Amino acid sequence: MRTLTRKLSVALLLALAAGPVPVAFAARTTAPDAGDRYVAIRCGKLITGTGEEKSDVTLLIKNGKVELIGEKVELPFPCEVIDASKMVVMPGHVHAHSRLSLLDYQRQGMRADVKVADEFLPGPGAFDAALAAGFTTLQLVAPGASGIPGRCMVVRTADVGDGYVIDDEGAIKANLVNVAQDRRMLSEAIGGAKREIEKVEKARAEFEAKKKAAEEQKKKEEEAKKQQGQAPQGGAPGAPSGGPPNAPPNAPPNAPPSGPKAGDPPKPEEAKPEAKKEETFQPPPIAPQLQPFVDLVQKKPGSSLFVKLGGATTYLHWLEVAKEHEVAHVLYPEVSRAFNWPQAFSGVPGTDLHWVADKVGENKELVVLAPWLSYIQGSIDLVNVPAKFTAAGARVALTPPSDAADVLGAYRFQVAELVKNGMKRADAIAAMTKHAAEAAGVGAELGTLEPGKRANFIVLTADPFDAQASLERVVVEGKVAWTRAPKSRS
Amino acid sequence: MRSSLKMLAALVAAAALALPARAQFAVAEDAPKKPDGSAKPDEKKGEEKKDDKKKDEKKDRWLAILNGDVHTISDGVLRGATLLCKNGKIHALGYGVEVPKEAATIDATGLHLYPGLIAVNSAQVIGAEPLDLTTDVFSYNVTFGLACGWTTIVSGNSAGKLTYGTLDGLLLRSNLLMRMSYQSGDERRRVRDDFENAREFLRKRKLFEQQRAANQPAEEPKPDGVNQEYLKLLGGDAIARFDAFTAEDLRSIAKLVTEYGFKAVVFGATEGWIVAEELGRAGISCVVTPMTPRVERDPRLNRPNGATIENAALLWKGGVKVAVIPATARLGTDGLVERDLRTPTLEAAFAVRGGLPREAAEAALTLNAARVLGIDDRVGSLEVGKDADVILLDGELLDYESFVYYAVVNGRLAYDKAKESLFRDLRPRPSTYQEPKPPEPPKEEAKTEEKKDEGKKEEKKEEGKKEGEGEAKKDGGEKKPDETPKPEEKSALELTS
Amino acid sequence: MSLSLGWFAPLLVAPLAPYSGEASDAAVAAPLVAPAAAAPAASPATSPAGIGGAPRWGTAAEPAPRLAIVVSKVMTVAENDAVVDNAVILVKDGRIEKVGRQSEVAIPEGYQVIDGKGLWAVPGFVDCHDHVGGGLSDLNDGVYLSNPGLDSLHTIDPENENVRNALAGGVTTVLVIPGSGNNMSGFGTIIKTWGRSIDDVVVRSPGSLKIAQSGNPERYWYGIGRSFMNWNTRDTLLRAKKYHSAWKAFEEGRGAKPEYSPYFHGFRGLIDKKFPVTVHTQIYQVVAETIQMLHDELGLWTVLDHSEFDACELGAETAKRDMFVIVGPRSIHYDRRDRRIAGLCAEWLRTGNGKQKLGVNTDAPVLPQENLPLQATYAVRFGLPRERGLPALSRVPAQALGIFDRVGSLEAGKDADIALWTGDPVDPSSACLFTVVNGRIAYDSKTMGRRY
Repeated sequence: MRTLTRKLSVALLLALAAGPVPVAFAARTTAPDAGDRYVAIRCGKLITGTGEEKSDVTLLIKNGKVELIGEKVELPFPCEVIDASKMVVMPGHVHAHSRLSLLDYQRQGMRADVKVADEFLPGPGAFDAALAAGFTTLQLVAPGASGIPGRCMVVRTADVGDGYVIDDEGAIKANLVNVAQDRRMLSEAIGGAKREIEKVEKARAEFEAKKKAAEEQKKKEEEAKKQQGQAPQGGAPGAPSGGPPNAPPNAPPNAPPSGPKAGDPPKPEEAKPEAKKEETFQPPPIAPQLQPFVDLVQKKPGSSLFVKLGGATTYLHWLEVAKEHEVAHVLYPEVSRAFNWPQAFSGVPGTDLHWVADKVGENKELVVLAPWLSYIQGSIDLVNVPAKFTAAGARVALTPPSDAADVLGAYRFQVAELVKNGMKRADAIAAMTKHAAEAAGVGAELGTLEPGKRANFIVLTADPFDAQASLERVVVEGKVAWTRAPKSRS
Repeated sequence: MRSSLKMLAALVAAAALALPARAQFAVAEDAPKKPDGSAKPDEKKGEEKKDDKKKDEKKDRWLAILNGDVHTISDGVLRGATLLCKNGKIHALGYGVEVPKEAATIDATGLHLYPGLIAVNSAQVIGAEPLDLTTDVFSYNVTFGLACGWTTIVSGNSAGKLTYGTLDGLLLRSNLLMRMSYQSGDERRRVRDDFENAREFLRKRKLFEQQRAANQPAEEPKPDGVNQEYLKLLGGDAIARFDAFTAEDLRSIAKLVTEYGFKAVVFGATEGWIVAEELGRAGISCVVTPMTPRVERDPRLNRPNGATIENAALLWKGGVKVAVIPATARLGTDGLVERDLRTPTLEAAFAVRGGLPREAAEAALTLNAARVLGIDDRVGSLEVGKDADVILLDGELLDYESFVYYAVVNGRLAYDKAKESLFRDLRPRPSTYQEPKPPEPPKEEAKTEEKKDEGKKEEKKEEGKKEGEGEAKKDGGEKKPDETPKPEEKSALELTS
Repeated sequence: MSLSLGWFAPLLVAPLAPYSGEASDAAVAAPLVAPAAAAPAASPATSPAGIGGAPRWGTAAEPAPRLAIVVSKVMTVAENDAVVDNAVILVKDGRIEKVGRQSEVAIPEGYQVIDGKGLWAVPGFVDCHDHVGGGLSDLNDGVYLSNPGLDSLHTIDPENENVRNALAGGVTTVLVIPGSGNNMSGFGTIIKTWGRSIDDVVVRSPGSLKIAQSGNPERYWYGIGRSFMNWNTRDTLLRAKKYHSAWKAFEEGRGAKPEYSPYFHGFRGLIDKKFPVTVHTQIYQVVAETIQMLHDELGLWTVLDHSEFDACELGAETAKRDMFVIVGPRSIHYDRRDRRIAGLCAEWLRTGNGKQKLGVNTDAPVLPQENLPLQATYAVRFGLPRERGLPALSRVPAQALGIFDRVGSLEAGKDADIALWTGDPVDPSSACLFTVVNGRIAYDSKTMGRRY
C-alpha cells in the first residue's frame, strides 16, 4: 500500500510538473467547481466497449462519471491521477445473472410482486469475490427455477458512498424451462395484465360516459333554468356554457387530476364541492402481482422480462408466447457444463440453441450466455453458440454461469476460449461490456466507457484475452474499490 | 445505363414467364379459386397469418415429390407419379400434376413413396403428455425416429408427429384409446355392469325420443350413474384398448365386444392365432409383435397354446385388422437386442415370414395402425386431403436393405438422409431436395423493392409486425369468449396467489 | 454371456440327459417328405411311428436315409460361391453325395424325394459363440479367475429347447462354450443341433478353448482390471506351454515322464493347433491385446468372438494376420465422432481394406439361437456387401473353427446339413421350413409345426 501511494504521489508530481499542456479539452463545457472530484487515468490501452480500442489516452472522470477521453488532456486541479500507461483499461465486468448475497431459496408460482431488492441485505464482503474478479455491476436475479419468482435488481459491487443499489426495480424474472407449466403461467400473466389494462380502460370509458351524461344533464338543467328565469343580467361572469371539461379525454390513468387552475375565474356557486370530487377518475386497483406485467405490456421504459429458457425447443415456445404478446425481453438460456462426451440420447452438454441460431438472429434477440462451448447432441463436435448467435445478428451478453469465486475468476479466460474458437474479438468485447449492461437493463448508464456513463473499469496488466493478464485494480464509479495486494515475500 | 436496360429486359422476361405459370397453376387447382389465391376462405388466411409473423410465410407452402413410385396403401401403387403437398396436406396425386413454380421439390426418381409409419406405442422417444409442450423437436430422437421411417408416434394416450424443428402441427390427437381391463372376475363384473347401465340409458332415451316425436307425455331419462365413457363406446365415438395375451382372455373380450358392439383393439394378442376367427367376427383389431420373444408351448395344457411366428398371418386370415409394433417401445443405439423402434420394417418383414401377405404387412405399419388409433382420417395412407406425411425409400418398404432417404411431415422436409450424418454413408445418394423458390412478385412491386434501401425495408417489416399484432389481437379477442367458460381450467395465477 | 454363479456352480460333471420320449403333437399336415416311388420297404426313413402316428425323428441307431432334395436354387456357399438353379441334392449315409442341376442328375432308386420346389437350399449355419448346450446353471464355474481344464462337453443336453429351435432357424452346428464370468472357463464343444445322444452330436471336443479377456470377468472379485487379467491369462498359458513341451520331450524320448495335470493336459491340443482359442474380446484395447498376446506372442490359433464396439478399428491388424473375426451379438456401433450408426461388420471390412474374414454370432441365449440369420440381416443392412451375408453364416465360421471340411457349404462329401428356405435366408421375410442334419430330417415345419 505504501509503495502505491508513493507511486501515486510521484505521478501527481509529474502531472503537476508537466504544467499547462496544449488544450485538447474541447469537450469540456463546465469549469471545475471546487466540490468536483476528478480522477485521471493514463491508459496504455483503453478498450471502451463501444468498439474502439485506443492507445496512450487519458480517461478523465468527474464525480464518478466519465468526463472525456483524449490523447492530450489538460488536467484540472485537484485531480487524482492513476498511471496505467503500461496497462490495459477496460469497462468493469457486468454479471447479468448473479445471486450473490441473496437468500438461497426457491420461490414458486407467479410472484412478480416480490422484489429482490426487498430481500437485499448484503453482509460484509458479500461481493468481494465478484470485485476481485473484475465485476463492477451485478444483476441480482430472483431465485426460483419455475414460474415467475420476482423482480431483479442491479447493484454495484462496492459501496462507494451511495450504497450498493443502482436499480431496485429491475426486470421481471420468468422461467420458461418446464414448458408444460411455465408457458401457461407466462401467457396468463401477460394476458392477465392485458385484461387489467382493459379493465381500467373500461372503467375510464364508463367514467367518461357518466361524466358526459352528468354534464349534459347539467347543461339541460342550466338551459331549463335559463328558460325559467330569463337571465336578468346580460351574461354570467365568465361561465362558459359549453366550456371544456376539466380532464382531457385521453389523460393517463395516473395523471394528476386537473382541478381548477389558479387563474380560472371563480365557478358559479351551483357547482358543489362533492360534484368536483366525482369528476376525477379513480382507476380500479390492479393486482400487485400483475402491476409489473401491466407496465411491461404498456412498454414503460425500463420494464423488461428476463426469461430463462430451456433450449432450442423452448425458444420456439417463447416465440409462440411472444407472438401473442410482444414485450421487451432478455433471454437467458440454461447452459450446462459440457464435461463429458454426450451419449446419443441423453441430454445435451451445453445448450442446443445452435439449432435456432438463424431465428434468434432474425429476431435480433439479446441473449445472455455462459462463455462455454456446447456439444452437438450425439456427437463429440463442439459448437460455439455465442459466436453462432453473433454471426446470425443477435446480441450476446456473456456472463459467468455461477457465482463461485473460481468461476468468476475464470470469466475472461473462458471468453478468450470462445474467441480462440471462432468468436470475433469485437463481438466478445461487446458481449462482456455493452451487451452485458444492456442485459442487466442498465445499458444507458454503464457498460462502456463513454462521456456521461458511470466510470466503472478495471486495470489489467495485459490484454483481457491474454492468459497472463492479471487484474491490478477495480474502479467503481471513479473510486478504487479493489487493488491487487502486494505479493508476500517468498 | 446498359445495366439498367438489362434489368428492364429481365423484368419484362420475368413478367412474361410469370403469366403463363399462373395460368397453369389455375388449371391445376381443383377447387374454384382465383389464381392469385385472393378468393381463399378467410379463415384459412387468418390461420396462416397467425402461424408466423413474417409476410413470406403467409404464402402457400408447396412441396412436390416428383417421379416416385407412390405406394398409397389404400389404393395400389402409382409408378413414376407426382405427389403434391400444399400447406401440409396432400393436394394432388397422380400423373400430369401441375406443380406451382414456387414449390419446393424432391426428385424421387428411383425412390418409393410410402405413408409415414405410425408407432402405436413408444417410451421416451418424444415427450409425455401434453405432447406439444414436452416434446423436444430438436432432439436426436426425432431425427432418429424419422430415419427409421416413423412420422407419427403415440406417447401416453396421444399421437404426435415427429415435426423436426417446428412446433407447428406436432400434436395430432389426444385421448386416443380408452384403456380397459377385462381379466379378473371383479373387473369383468364391473365392465359388464357399466355397459348394461349405459345400454339401458340409451334404450330409455330412445324410447323418450320416440314418445316425444309422437307427442306423448314422457320424462327425459337422466344419465345419473352412467359412465360417460361407456356411452361414447356404445355410440361408436371411442375405441377401447385391451392388453391381453392368452386365448382365454382374448375369447372373453371377443364375446364382450360382440355383445355390446363397440370398437376395440387388443395389444399383445400373443395367442390370437388360436381365436383369430372369433376376434375377426367381433371386429377387433390387434397390435402384435411378430418377432415376439419365444413363448414355448406348454405341453401340460391339452390345447393349442404359446407364441408363433404365424400369429399375424393367422389373425389376418381370421379377418382381424393387424397393426405391428416392435417388442420394445424405446429407440436406442446400444444395438444388442435390436428389437426396438429402430427396426419397424424388419418387424413387419417377420410377419411376412410367418405368412402375412406383403401388402397387409405394409398396412400393418401404416393404415391399420392409424385405424387402430382412430386417426385414419388424417394419416396412414397417401390420399388427397390427408396429411402430407411421406417417407421415401430406395426400395420396397419391407426390403431389409431399404433406407429412408427423406421423411416429409406435414408437408415439410423433416429428414434428409444425405444431410444428416446418421446413415449418410450407407447406400449414399445425393440429395435432390430443392428449396422453395422465392415467389415472383408482380412487376410493379419488383421494381419498387429493388429501389428500396435497407432502412425502408426495415420500416416495411415493422409495418408487417404491426399488422400481425393487430390480427393477433383480433384473434385473441374472438377466442376469449370460448376460453373463459371452461370451468376446469383454473388460472395459474389464482392457484398460486 | 455371463452369469456369475460363483461358489454355487456345481463342480460335478453334469449327467448326460436321457432321451425324452416327448411326442410331437403338431398338426398332421401333408408331409414334405414323400416316400420314394420305388421300393418303399427299402426306405429307411420310415422311422417308428410316434404316438399320434406322425413320422418321428430318426434315431442315431438307424442308418441315415437316402434323400433326393429337389429345390429351385442351391446356394452352395463353397469357396467359389457357386449357385445351382433347379437343382437336386443327393444325400447318402449322412453325407452329400452330389449337387447338380435336375436336368443333369438322375435320382437313383431308393431315394426319398423331398419336394422343395420354389425353395432355396443353403448349408446349415454355424454359430461360433453360444451357450446353448444345457441349462444356464452350467454356464460359469467361476471358482477361480482362471479355470483351466473344465470342459463344456459335460453340460450338453442334445435336445434342449435352444438347440431344437436352432433347427427352425437353419442353424445346424454350434460351438458351445462356457460363459465369460472368468478369464478361462473351460473348453468349448462343437456340436450338431440334432442327435439322440452326446455321441451323435459332437463334431469335435474340445472344439476350442474359451478365453474371456474382459468385459465380464471383472465381476469375479473386487480390484480385478484389464492389466491383471492380461497377466493372469498369459501366466496360465505360459505354464500350459511349459507343460506341453515337457510332455512333448518325453514323447520324443528326450526326457522323463512329467506328472499328469488335469489343469493343463487339455491345452496340449491348443498349443498343437488342433483347435483354436475363441476369445470373448471387445473394445479396442482388449482386442489389440488379444492380437498381440494370443496370436503374435503365444502363437495360438486365435478366433475373435464378440468383437464389438470400437474394436472394429483394428481391421487392418486382423486382416494382415489373416485372422477370423466373428461379430455379435451387437451388430451396430454408435459412432459419436461422426454422429452416425455404423454396422460393425461393415466397419471391420472397411478398416481391413475389404479383406477381413467376417462371420456373425448370436451369443445365444442372449439372442435366441434361431436368430443367427438375423445377425447377417443387420450386417448387410448396415453395410456388409450382400454377397458376404450367407458366407458370414456358414463358410466363414466353419473355416474359423477348422471344420470347413465337414460343414459350412453344400459340396459332395460334406456332412448333409441342409436347410430349405423360402428365399434368401438373410432376408427376414424368408422362412426356414425344412432342416436336414447329418442326412436325417431334423425339422419339417409341416409335420412338426412352425417353430420360427
